[in-house]
Amino acid sequence: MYERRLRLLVVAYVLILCVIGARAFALQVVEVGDHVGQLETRCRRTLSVLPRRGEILYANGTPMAANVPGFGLEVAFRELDDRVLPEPEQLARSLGEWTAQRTELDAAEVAATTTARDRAVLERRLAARRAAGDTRRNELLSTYPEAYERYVRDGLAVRRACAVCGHTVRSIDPPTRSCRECGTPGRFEVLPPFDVQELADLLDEERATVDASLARALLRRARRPAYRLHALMVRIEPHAAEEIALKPWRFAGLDAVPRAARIRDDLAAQLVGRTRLPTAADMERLTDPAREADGLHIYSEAEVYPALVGAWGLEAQFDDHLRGVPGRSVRVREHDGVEPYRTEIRREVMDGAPLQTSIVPRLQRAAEEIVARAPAHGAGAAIVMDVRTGAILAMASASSDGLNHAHVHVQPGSVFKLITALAILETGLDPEEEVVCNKSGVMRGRGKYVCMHAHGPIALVEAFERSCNGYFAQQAARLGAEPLAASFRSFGLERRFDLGLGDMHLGEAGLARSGPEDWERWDLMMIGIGQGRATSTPLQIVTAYARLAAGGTAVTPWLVEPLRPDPTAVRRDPALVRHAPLLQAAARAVVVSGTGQAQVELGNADAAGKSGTAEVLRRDGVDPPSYGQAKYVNNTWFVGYAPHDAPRFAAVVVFERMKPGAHGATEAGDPVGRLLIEALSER
Amino acid sequence: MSADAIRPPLAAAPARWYLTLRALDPRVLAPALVLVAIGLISLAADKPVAMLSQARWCVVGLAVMLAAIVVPYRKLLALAYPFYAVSLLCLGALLVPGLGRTANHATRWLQLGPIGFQPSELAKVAVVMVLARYIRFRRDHRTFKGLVVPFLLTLIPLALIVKQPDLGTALMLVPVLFVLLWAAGAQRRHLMTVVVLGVLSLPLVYSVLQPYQQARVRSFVEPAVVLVADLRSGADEASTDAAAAGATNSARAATSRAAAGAPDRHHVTESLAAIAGGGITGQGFREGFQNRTDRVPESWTDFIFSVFAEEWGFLGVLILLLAEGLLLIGLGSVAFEVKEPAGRLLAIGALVILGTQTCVNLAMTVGLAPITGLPLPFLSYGGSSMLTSWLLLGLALNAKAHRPLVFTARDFD
Repeated sequence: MYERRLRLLVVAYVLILCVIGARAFALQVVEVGDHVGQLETRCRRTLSVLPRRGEILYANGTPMAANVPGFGLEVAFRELDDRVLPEPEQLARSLGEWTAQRTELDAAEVAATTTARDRAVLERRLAARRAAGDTRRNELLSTYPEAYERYVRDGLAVRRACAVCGHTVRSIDPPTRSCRECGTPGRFEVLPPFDVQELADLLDEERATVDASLARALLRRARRPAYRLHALMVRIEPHAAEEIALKPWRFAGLDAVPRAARIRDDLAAQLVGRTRLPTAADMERLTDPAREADGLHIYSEAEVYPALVGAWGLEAQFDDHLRGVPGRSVRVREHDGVEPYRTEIRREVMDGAPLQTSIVPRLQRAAEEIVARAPAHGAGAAIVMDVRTGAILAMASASSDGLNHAHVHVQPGSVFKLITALAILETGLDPEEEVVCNKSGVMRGRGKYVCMHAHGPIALVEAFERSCNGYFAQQAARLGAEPLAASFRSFGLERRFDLGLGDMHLGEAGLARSGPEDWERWDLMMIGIGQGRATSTPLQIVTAYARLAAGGTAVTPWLVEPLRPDPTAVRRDPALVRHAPLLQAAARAVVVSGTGQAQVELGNADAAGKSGTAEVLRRDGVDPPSYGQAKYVNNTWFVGYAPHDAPRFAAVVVFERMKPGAHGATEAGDPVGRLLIEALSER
Repeated sequence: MSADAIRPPLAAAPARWYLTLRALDPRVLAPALVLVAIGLISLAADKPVAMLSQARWCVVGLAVMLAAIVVPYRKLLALAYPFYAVSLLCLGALLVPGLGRTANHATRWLQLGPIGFQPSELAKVAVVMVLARYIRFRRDHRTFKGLVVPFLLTLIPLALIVKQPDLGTALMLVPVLFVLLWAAGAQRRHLMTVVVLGVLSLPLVYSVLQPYQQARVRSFVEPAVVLVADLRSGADEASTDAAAAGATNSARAATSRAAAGAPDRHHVTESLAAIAGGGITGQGFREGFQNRTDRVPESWTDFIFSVFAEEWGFLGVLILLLAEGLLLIGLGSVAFEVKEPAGRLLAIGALVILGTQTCVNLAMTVGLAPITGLPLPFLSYGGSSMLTSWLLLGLALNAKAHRPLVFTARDFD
């Protein structure tokens, strides 16, 4: 009985195999034409849908960096034929000619440059560009032949016309099938999809550039399915995109796709940074599977190529935040479809998130105007900060070295006396105790410090008001290193605040050059007046005065919403809380009757603050001859806050390498007053 | 070597090596080797790198088969329950984060040093062995109540395999259970009742399927709707990306859209195009257009038949089907010859697994069944699949080699 069941089982399997055999017979012998016909008309393109890069926004919601519509060009290799792609030898020849032509143009440009210094810079830049270009070209030429050979072997030529009736089809099948229109077998002619020279003319590009782009796209295609579109040109002009879109018969196999370009407001160019096309390092970073662990999208190579990535500034630091996740769609033409194409969304595109900053446009404009007055060979920086929240409302920098000097360590001069003053008070020295200022004090074996005036016997508040170097230098020497170091910490000067701008455009960290254990008596005296080993960034100095203005609250600066510190975790510094009233009175006295009393804008702003003038060595070749034979040039500072009785905003302005004799209050006092008035009227 | 030379003395018990050699039944081995050769040829055309690895696995598989023949199957069946427990442990280990290896969005591989294997392949063998062990000498499976234990023994690994998810392999266990019970004499009306209940519960089962699995089913039952979402890189990708991106609302929406709206025929369309392109004589070795242009997805694993059919045409397909048929008939003959219940059930188990997997894979490739992700035994690339196939053959041949003399009139009586 059960053997019959077993027999039935075997018979059932054999019958199923017979059915499958019959199906195979139907497919391979009876219905073969139908399936091949489907293939001839079925067309499928996979497209990466680029996300819109998130906007970077001012505090009021207007964009600092935004996207504008643009177009890119993509190619479907499946719809090309062999003649479109340059043969390896032709590509080498074409690129060689192009390189020679570029070298000639470069040489002409160098020859036309007038000064020797500019010529040297230009030559260096061109040599670097040429080396990078050579590397890319050699890589292309070494890998291209194999991809080309494979492409030709694949025989992907697809746009064909029947030699008898002229019926045109796009086919992926070898040209041996019958024409679906007239039934003639095997009489097809391959039609060239487009003329490469015509495309180059339309794009206003060199033929070699288009050839190289095609070759690079083919190399990418070798690693991807044939039906995927590959980026050919990342940016093309709208008229070219229109021409290609409107005349598909002239440019078969090409697709002009919308692709946004990035623009930025020049006001905050230094903060926003720039975007650029991805490099090999970006490719490696964005396709790294380890990104999944961080909850980030793992890009495919095809998705990376047309994307924009941040080069520096906020664009680079928040690149993943801004870039978004590309979508994927498939465009299909079916053999029985009513519509010529249908687009299926496979993965919805996720646009990049906006990045909210704390920058106020009007204040930023004012700050930019102020730093524009900085000497061309030097630098200038201006910062406005909200004392209550730590928000940076404006941050501007102008410099000959391209660095953001709001972040660069320089000698702060007398604005540093606030730190010495707190150390004096915290150590328990009597603020009423007078110290004699004799204009200069000689230090054994090392030199001397100089006070501009012989103040005579002078106490803390008056010394701060009149910026007496004699008082602070002598008191610093009495204090020793440790109280000064503790005072640094109270004001947050030991910290390098992360505003999200990255390290690339920051200056070197000056304080790292030495520690308190190395300070000798001479060093202490110079540090006490903000000279010698004392260096700080404008950001650190404005933060220190904001902490004073906030009555000892440890304000932390922030620029972008994702890095905003938790307001509930704000601590207060006990030393600063104890001594803030006296120090605030001293800072107010500076504006009312001290070094800043002549600055009208400071008075109008009802401000308190401190001027600073740091002497730095003059450098031949850097400082202009008009500075004469003076040994030193000046860094001029003013840092202040307003209103003095209920502080809301703090601001700092610094001009580096000003002429000898320039004074902090005179040069930077009124600009700080203006920034504070603008800030007070803004909110 | 003459037959006398290897014959042991009459008085002595047959030597193990003698039994092993006697077990190497050409009715089974010859078609299996032909199939392996066809698989290697197809891989050589599609993915030459994989061919060398597959050849190595084939040699290892042959060794495994010989090892499976050497130890008498009754001794092996004595270890059926521990083996079953080990396979359950391995399946359970996949549920522990970090132990399993995930590929194609399913955690199916357990990594042992440099080697990864699929516990679900082990589970298929374990279920056959444990059912054979349980059912032999019993009669209670002929009652409705007696079906409970065999069903439980099958459903536990099935549930764990579904969890991976690997619906195709999980569903393989269902025919194994039914056929073994049926062959062991279970009442037809009992089995039919279970089948009817199963059919009635299909809507419920469908609702708990993964989105891509639902899409596969819909693409099969709605062949008129021809869309081109790529299953593995479509709905799956959307869901993975959604998880990676913290499952924001729009990502979740994308997932559900991909899940709801993508009955897919892309795999099948490309596969049919490849098979049809082969014609009667085929396009020639390494000349298949669909194969050269990488159009058939998973062409070296699940869809290897289309590669072979495109390059060797209908004539090649006939040879392949003939080899498959001969293999199944050979396994059936082995089962016939074994009268002892447990041995016969082992042989039938091997027949059912290899036969069902072959039929489902081929039917899927020619568009007669939904896509299940089952490999074609002996042909598809994959070490676990190759080893399991040879192990099953080994168990069936073992049953034949070590079969005892049975004096009852009918088996299971």
